[in-house]
Amino acid sequence: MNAINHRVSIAAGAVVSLGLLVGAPADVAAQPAPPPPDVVVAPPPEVIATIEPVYYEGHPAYWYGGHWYWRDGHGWHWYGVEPAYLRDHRAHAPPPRYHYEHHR
Amino acid sequence: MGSIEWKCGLLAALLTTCGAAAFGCGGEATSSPPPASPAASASAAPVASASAAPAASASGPPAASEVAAPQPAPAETSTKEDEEASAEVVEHHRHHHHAGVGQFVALSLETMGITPEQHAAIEKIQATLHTKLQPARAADRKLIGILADGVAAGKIDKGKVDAAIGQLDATSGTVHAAAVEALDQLHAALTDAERMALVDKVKAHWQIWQQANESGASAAEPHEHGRLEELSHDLSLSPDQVEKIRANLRAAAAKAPDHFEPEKVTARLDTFGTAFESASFDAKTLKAPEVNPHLASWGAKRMAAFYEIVTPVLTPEQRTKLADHLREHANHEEAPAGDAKEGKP
Repeated sequence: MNAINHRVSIAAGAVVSLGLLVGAPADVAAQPAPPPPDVVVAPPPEVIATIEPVYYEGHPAYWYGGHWYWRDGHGWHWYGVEPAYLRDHRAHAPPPRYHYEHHR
Repeated sequence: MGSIEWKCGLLAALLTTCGAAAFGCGGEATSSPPPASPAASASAAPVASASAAPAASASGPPAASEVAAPQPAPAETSTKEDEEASAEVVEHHRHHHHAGVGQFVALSLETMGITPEQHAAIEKIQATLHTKLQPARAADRKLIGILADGVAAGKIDKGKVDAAIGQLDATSGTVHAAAVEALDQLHAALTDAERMALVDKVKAHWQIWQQANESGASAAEPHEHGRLEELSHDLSLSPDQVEKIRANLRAAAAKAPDHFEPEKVTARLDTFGTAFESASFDAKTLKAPEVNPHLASWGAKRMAAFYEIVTPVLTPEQRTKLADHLREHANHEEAPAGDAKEGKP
């Protein structure tokens, strides 16, 4: 399951716990709406333009500043917990930066 | 960020939500990252610590207007190589102004991270694009060569420069029509995620281009990695030379106001991005082909004007060095797609 989709499920977690404690029907919290991922500032354009993305969960992910960034219709996000696939990818094949000039 | 932080965040959330003193974690908790909460904010990364509007946490995807303000990126942990790669792409956009958006697409293909199975198809498309962009590229090279000769001689021939820019404008105007088929083939060859990446990259190149070719009065003011700052570094300009050039840049900006319309390019790229990320795409339907010559000729004019202002202030040795530098740009050949795998051109 997409880790980022679980992100910040504060209210959902609280509802689940509360429901169990006070005897509320289990189905009250059975289908919590997935929380939206946090919107963050995009990586610098120089990074996006020069780094190869890794394709994961149907979108490109860019490694920058210690996080994997991705975007959807709401904006840019990062994975709060690095998915194992991306961590393994980074360990075995770090995303290279492309050099557009020969002479510098 | 580890599970301890997450648990602290969840605990804080529970405390906030129901006022209880202590609760265990729910089943969903084990795979969830840290929530955005005061408890988490002290130790979590910057974004996680302060984002996620509470109202958004349980109500499904919010409307764009309801999304929390973007949080700042973390402190960059870039290496020297990263910084060089960033500086190089800015330098590239400062000196190459052919084909407008078509150039952005061609550049983007070099860093797509395509699969080995796609290489043959993508390289064929890239070769087609390269051919279609060749007339504009040749005009670009001619212009840079004229500037290099003028810098070396101590006086840039304005007539030759204007003629070369006219040629660049004309050739860039044909790029879109010439590249329609290649763009359609590209769309067909890429996956949905790869199309997103191409759009990300094209828009990133546009942002870099704007930074690299900043216009108006502000362009004359000091900037980190600004055009004058980079030139000063490369040629070891004296403080007097820098100030003299800066004064002349300010005077030129005041004398000739900008007529560049970046919003037209942005609108064109937004249209392109939406269309290219869609399941079906027809490049012929993309409007505003005048954006390419607008972008190419304006960038070329900015570059030429800069060197016209700079040249009289330089020493003969500095002019020789700058002319060599420009000739290297004129001879720079963009690499085929497959080489990007190794991160080198």
